[in-house]
Amino acid sequence: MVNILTTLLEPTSGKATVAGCDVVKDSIGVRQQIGYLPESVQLYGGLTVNENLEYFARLSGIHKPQRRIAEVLDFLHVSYGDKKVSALSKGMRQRIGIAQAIVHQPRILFLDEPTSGLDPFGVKELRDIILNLNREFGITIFMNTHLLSEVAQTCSRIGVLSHGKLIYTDSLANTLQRFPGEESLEQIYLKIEGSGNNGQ
Amino acid sequence: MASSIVVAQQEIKAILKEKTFLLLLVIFIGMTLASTYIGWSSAHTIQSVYDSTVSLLVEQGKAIPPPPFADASHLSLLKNMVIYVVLIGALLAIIIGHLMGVRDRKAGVTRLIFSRNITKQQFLIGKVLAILFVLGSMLVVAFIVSAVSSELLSRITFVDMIRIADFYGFALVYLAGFAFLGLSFALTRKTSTLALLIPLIIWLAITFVLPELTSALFPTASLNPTLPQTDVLQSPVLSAIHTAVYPLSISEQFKVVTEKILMVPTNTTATGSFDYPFWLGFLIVPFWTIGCLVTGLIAIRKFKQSQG
Repeated sequence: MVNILTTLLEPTSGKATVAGCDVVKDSIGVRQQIGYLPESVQLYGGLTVNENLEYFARLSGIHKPQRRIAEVLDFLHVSYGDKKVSALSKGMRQRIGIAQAIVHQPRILFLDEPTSGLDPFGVKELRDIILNLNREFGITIFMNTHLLSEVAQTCSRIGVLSHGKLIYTDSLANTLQRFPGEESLEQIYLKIEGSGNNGQ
Repeated sequence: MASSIVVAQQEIKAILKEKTFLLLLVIFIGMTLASTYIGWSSAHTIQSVYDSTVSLLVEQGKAIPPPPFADASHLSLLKNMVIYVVLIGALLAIIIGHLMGVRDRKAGVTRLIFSRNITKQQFLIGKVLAILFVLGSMLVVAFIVSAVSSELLSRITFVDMIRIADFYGFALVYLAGFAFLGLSFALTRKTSTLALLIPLIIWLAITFVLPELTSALFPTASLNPTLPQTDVLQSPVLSAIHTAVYPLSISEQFKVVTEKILMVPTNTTATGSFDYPFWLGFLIVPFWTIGCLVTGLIAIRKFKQSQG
C-alpha cells in the first residue's frame, strides 16, 4: 500500500490520490509533496551523512541545500554530519533516514514500520521526532506499523488493513469511544479484524 | 534534465571511489603509454637491423631493399592501441556501466530515489551522461598520453594530432556501447553476478569469437597486431562464413576503421567471397552503440523502482 501511495508501484486496479494528485496520472505531482522513510533505512554507506542528504535534497530540486541540511540536522539533534553512514548505528541511521525524508519540506511523510529494529530508547526518540514534525511543521504523517502501542501514542487517525482491504478507518478518539469495554487498542483491533467491521 | 544532471554528478563522484574502476583505469592509461613505446621500440629495432643489413649489402655490392618504414605513418607507433581499446577498454567500459547500474540497488536507495521528483527516463539519462563523461575523460587522458609520447618519440604533425583525436573519438563511440550494455543488464538482473556475466559473454563473443569466424585462416589476427608473414590459405567454407558474419564483427569493424584513421596497415587478413568496404565500420559501430542504448531504454522500462 505504501509503495502504491509513494508511486513506487502502480496499482493493478482501483484509484489512489495523495494530496489531490493521482498516483498514476500525476506521480511526479505526488512525489513533489511527499517524504518517504522505508522500513529498512539504507543510504550510501561510503558517503557521509551530509553527502547523502545533499544528493537527495538536490534530487528534490533544492539547488544549494547546505543551509536546509544544517536546519534539519539541528532539528533532529544530529551532530555527526561528517561521518560516513556505514559507521552509524541503526538508530542514528533512522534519524538520517528521517532527515532525507523531510529535507525538501514535504506536506506528507510516509513512514513504513519506522520503529522496526529499534531499542526502547530509539523508539521513544523516534516517537518524539514524529510528534514534533507534526506539531512544529504541520506535516501530515502516514505511518504503518504492527506496534499498536505506538499507534496509541502517536496517531490521531487510524485505519485497519485486512488481507489488502481497508476494513476500518476513524479517529483514535472515536475508536476508543466506540469500543468502551475494551482495555487496549490491541483488543479493539482483534475485534475489528475478527468481525470484518466496515464501520466509518 | 536537472534531476538527470544530479544523478550524473553523483555517479561520477561515486565511480572515482571504486577500486575496480581505478585499477582498470590505471592499467588502461599505462598500456596507452606502453603502446607508443612498444611501437617505437619495435620500429627502432627493425630500423637498426635494416641499417646493419644495408651496410653489409653495400660492402658486398648488392642491391639495397627499400627501407621498412619508408611509407609508414608516424602514427603506426600507436597501432597497439587499437587492440588495447578492443580488449582492456571494452572491459573497463562494461565495468563502468555495471557499477553505475548496480550501485543504487546495492546501497538499497532505489526506493528513496524514486520517491523524489525524478522519472525512470531521467534516471537513465543521468547514468548515460555519467558514462559518457567518465569514458570521455578517460579517453581525453589517453589522447594526451598518446599525443605527447608520439611527439616525443616520432615528431608528429598537427594533422597526425587530429587523427589521434579522431581515433579516440571513434573509440568513445565503440566503448559507449559496451558501457550501455553493462548498465542495461545491471538495471534489470536481480543478481549482480549474472548482470556482469552476460555483458562479459557478449564482449567475449564480439572480441574473440566473431573475429575468429571472420579471420579463421589467420586466427591470431584478433589479438596480434603483427601482420602474417605467409600467405593465408583460401577455403570456400571460411570465405562464406566471413562474408556472412563480417558485418556483425563489431571489433573487426572498429579495428579496420581506426587503422584507417591512424593510417597503419590493416591486420585483418580475412578473405571472403565479398570484400566489404572499410567505411562499413563507420555505420556498424555507431549502430551497435545505438542498439545498446536502446537495450538500456528497454531495461529502464522493466526496471523495478520499488525494489532495492
